[in-house]
Amino acid sequence: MLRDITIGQYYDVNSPVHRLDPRTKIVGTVLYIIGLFCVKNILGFLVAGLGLLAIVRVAKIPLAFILRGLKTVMVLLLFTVILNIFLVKGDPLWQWGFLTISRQGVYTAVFMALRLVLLIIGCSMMTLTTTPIELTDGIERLLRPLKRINVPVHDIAMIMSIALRFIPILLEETDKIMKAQTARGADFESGGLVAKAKSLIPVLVPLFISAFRRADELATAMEARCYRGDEGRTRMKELKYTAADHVARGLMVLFVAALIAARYLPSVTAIGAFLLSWW
Amino acid sequence: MEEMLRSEDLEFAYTVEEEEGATVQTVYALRGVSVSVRRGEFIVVLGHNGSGKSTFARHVNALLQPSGGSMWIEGMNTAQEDKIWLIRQKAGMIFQNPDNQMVASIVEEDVAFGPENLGMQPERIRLNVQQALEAVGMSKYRKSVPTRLSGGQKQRIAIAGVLAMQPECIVLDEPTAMLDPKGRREVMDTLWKLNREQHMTVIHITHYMEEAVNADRIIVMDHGQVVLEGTPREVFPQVEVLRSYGLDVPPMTELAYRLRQSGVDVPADILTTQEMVSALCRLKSKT
Amino acid sequence: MSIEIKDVTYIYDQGTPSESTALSHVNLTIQKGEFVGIIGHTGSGKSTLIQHLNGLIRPTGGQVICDGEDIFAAPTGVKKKKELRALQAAKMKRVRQKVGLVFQYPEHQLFEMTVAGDIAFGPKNLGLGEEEIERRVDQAMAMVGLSDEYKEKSPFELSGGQKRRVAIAGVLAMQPEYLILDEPTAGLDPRGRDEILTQVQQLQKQQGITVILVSHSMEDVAKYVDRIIAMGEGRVQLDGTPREVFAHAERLKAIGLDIPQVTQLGNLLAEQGFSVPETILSLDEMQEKLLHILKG
Repeated sequence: MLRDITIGQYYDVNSPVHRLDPRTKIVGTVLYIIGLFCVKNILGFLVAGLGLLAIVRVAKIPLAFILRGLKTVMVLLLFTVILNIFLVKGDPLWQWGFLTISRQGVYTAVFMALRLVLLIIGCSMMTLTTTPIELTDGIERLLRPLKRINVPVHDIAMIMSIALRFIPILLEETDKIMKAQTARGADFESGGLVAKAKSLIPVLVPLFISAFRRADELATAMEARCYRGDEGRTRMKELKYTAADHVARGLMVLFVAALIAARYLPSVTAIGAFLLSWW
Repeated sequence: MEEMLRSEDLEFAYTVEEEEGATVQTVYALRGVSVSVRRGEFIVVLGHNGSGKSTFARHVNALLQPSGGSMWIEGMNTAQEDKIWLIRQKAGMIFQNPDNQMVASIVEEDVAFGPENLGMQPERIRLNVQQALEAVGMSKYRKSVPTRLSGGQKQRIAIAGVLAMQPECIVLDEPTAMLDPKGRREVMDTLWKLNREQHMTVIHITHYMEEAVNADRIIVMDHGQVVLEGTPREVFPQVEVLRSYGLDVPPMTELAYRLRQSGVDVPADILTTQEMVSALCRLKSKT
Repeated sequence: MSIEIKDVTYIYDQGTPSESTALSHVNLTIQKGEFVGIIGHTGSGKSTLIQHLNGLIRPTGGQVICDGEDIFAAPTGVKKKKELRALQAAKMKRVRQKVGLVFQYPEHQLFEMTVAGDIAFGPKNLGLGEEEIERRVDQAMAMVGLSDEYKEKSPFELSGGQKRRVAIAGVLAMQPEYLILDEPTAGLDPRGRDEILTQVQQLQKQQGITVILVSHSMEDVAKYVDRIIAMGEGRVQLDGTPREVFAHAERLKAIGLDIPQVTQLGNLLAEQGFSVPETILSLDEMQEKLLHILKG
């Protein structure tokens, strides 16, 4: 189950998208999200879908892999669809008891589902093609201007990358501690909410102690490796925009412009038709 | 040979407050440790838990400051604050838990962490990382995720992380304690290779006597003091003394000791099975 | 009375790309009263195996039978789901009381404010009365050699070796009939190592507890256990007395294991024409043998 989640996972192949500067991808993703929320009609979704498909292709990520990732958010998707179908009022298409399905409801539901799917795929495209470290580096660089107003940008980025490093370790540790306490007769399943919460103490206390011990040891190890904040620190991989980034940025702007334009296109045709009829 | 580091009457004390907060007790973790290590030496420090060997190690790269006496690395006093970063670059340190000393989620990024902190130029960092990974035989894992590596491999990455800073000396605080026999062998082989090929000064702290058999010199610590010092052949035959400090001796040395006690004339300083076999063969041919 | 592993197979992440077989068709019987050592390099399946013995892992195929009871079989004759689950849970509790498992670095699971409180966790989970719990805490502490003065101390103030004893006492307080220890000496110094193993040996000899010891140290298993199970590639590769198992140096090498140094010496001496006919397991044996040969 946990393995099916493709959001936040990195897919290790060498593709032009993988090679892009993380900043390009972060900004691109943000633009794409904005564009996606401007989409109001089928044409827009078509543009978004095709554009995304093109990116997936260039990134050399198998479509099946991405679709498998969608499986985990299926519940959420179904939930939104059902909620929208039944709750949006309008011209009734079908009725049974107090349940009504309206045309507008179906519309909204379909659009909502499409938007969610495209949003999730879009975001996972960023994480699938960018390592967590590149991501934090990118965020650190993008936020650098905030340093002037005393935001500890470097520390935030460092905290993020250390968290990424230790999350799998702590998950494994949690599993181990739970097993060990189970071996001593602990029961995490039965009982009410209070009993369940109480049964977690024998897991949480050792987990916290371990996390603090690790943090302490890591801090010592970092100090031993001459870490002293970002003072005088260089990077092995300096982020640098390349020609590919400029091209990608141009394409991204075009893509988002097309998304927004699609919103007005039907009205453009409507205006055309109106003008024609005048003629 | 040139001197790499030297401690002079090193003392480290800290205070413990008893539960009621009233009585303050002073604990001496180190009491007058004077040690000198030459460049290129392979030193093994033995001692039971709480003997002060970790505390000593932490003085070498100024993670701890002495409360008495002094510690010198290449002529620099670790108490000089402006020299601290230079000292930490010269004397790299490896810790026991391989997981808790890795910062980045990709091997090569982690190895680059030290050089980055030193402010090296990107090209130089890349070169150092590459050479360091080669030196520990982990080049093909440079893009790997640490969680997928074995304990021995992680510890080798940690060594690479120190090597990339181009140190003169590596101090290892029980780097093999949490590893299985295979991982232990990997780490020891790596250390020996570095010592032989790059002339790296190694100070290795351990509980495993077999890791000390090939050392240039053994330092035995107990209660914050150096109680024995010498080559493995000088130290290990002192079976009773070592035992009194809560330590073992290599099985072959113990066997030699027992045989000698029973009047069999084998050398006392036997360390390996090979040596034991030859000694016994010599004896047998005589009878 | 025994624990039986019948044709047990365990596959991690079945049905995913990372699928891997940890155990394949393992058959084993551990008799009550035995002192068994399990050896095998990391990834040989030994950790997975021991977690089957007290039902922490459910086998993909095969059965685990503890004192005649199949621990994963659904109770028969019960229809209601709720009842079924309750019965199953009760059985698991029984199994986990009977088969105590001490994980690697068990001190990392301590959580109570006092030593006594932590040791009482298991007995409390068994639903025992206060007096009985206290009796068991005292008993368990005595078994691991912790004196009464530690009772009210915080476990986090103790030394590494003492913390480990507290953790082991926490399992012993459940009065298990079978005790599994996964590398109980990892990270300890030689003195700590000897102390823990001697105590474990006493538990087996004096209390009659069946002990299953997972170890990386061939010297330790040669010294303490009566029977060795060597795991490799998810299978039992060798099973027998230490003398039988360590006679197969080549086979052990193939699965990444060594033989004790003194056994090696015995083999080398035999090659040199010394009359060392059998596998030597300890320095005592070797000493005796050599004195016999050299002094007649």
